[in-house]
Amino acid sequence: MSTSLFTISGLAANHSLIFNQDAVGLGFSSVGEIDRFVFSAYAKAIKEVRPADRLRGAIFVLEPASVADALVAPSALKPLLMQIQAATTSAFHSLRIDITGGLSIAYSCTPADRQSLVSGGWSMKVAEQFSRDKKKCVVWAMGIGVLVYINGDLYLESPDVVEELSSGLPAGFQSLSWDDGGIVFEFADCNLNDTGPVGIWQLPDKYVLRPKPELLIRSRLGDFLRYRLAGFHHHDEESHVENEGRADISLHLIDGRILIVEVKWIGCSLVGTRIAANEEDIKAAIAKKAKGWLTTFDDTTIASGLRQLVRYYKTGRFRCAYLTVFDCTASARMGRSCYVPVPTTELNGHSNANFRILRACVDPRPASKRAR
Amino acid sequence: MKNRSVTLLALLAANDHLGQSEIHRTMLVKQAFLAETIRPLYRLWRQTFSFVRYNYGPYSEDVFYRLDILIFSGLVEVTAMERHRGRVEARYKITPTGHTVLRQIGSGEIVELAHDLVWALQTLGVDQSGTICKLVYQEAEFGRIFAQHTQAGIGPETRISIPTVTAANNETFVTLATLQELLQRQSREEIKGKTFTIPTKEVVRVFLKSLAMQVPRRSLH
Repeated sequence: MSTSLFTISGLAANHSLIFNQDAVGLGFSSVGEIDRFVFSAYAKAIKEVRPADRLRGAIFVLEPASVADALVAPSALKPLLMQIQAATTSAFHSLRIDITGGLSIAYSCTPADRQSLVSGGWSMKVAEQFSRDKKKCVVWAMGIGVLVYINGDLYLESPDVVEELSSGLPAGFQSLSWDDGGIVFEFADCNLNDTGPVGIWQLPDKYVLRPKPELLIRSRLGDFLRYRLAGFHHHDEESHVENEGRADISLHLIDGRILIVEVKWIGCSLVGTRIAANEEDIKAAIAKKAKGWLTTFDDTTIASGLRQLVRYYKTGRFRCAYLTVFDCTASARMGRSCYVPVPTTELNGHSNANFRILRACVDPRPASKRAR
Repeated sequence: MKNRSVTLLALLAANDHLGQSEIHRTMLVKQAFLAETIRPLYRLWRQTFSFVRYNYGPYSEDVFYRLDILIFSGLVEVTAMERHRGRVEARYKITPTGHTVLRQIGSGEIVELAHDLVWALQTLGVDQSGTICKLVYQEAEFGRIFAQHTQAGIGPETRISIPTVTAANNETFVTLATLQELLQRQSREEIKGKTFTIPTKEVVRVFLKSLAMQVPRRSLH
């Protein structure tokens, strides 16, 4: 059998059986209602919240819907999550699955309680104890991860509700979901804007990148994924692909997926031999449009990058292939990062469901200027 | 009204009831396939749709034929339709008349099956065509046929029948029966003296979860 009996009996004997009775006792129609809230409402709501505003060690009580099968719309849940985060240290809120009645305070925290706070958030132990004492379904939320306790017992543990990683260590509040490659938009927005000596920019005000920006971006992306990606196992830079060359990044996730990420950039970079040139010389060369100073890539890099990616993908080692194109041109500051439609004619017969092209806009201007 | 039309109407009604009023045609076909797969749990022994393996996924021309009839009858409406790269992208929605007719027909088991299926899909966060495809590809009989065809070099454009779930030695049937028996037997043993049964929708949920666990990325996004 393709599904082992062990798996089936494990699934049947554990969650549904043990927790269903408790969940019904708490008023849920069945324990699956909690999963439905977490993966169909909470996951979509939290995806819409900016990473810095997500819940960090927050605790709330989940109550059954007032009407059978009712479920809150993600857009309606989002402001409530913001309220819960704002009041993390002062109260534990309670909300129904369909948010009838909005938020109510289930428990007001005392100064003694607050001694248990860790970095402004509650530990999962507090949630567990609260659930046990009050005999409630309690959610401990940390970024994109949640733990759900029913009467003090851990029912659901998901380090990434967006990608639905079923189990594993809880992620930190700053963990980001892979989100079908969408994490690179965050990377472009808050990491590649580093204009310091270790950043990718040679002359940020002229939108000129340092020599070999692809290597710099790849290295920074690797570091970013290592520290921020929930479900990260390891990654290989310059991963060898048999008879084809070297892919920029092969990314291994804890659920066994191996993804390939090809990094490309659009814009203008200083050529390697001019690395020692001073700022005035570079600016003069730009003004004169002198040859031998700058390397420029435009949108045609997307097509060539895709062809390269298809050659790596055909080896069959990778589940999905991502072409990430970082737009470092001056016009990128007005643009929006987005997914680009994949031209199926370029895929040599592979399914386009396994390919993504992401165009991430990079704006090196400081936040004060961007805000204007 | 035939069982096939009622099944589609019930699926559209369940989606509407559970907060997804409009449904993509691929999603509907795959839901119809899963409904056909789990029908033994509801003691529905008559086959509704016969599916073929075509263009990778389980496919049934009859779904669209029945859907057309429902649309012409005013029970279902098309909310969006466009041709995209040679494929028809359409979304459907049940009309108030459709709801009324479904209530009048009173096909309790089919309505319950549709409701439980859509509910169970939501517990896994499956609400898009791409994600439900990953799930149905793990169905045992479909997966077996797909693997055989890939090995034999049979192209995706060839239409080949997928055996009905009630056929002899159907692996999915065995899995469903095992799951139901396990859940019910253990609940009887655990809670002595109390009337406590695991709802069928939980069995459906566990079944779909077992499929989801076979997707290398459990993610259904």
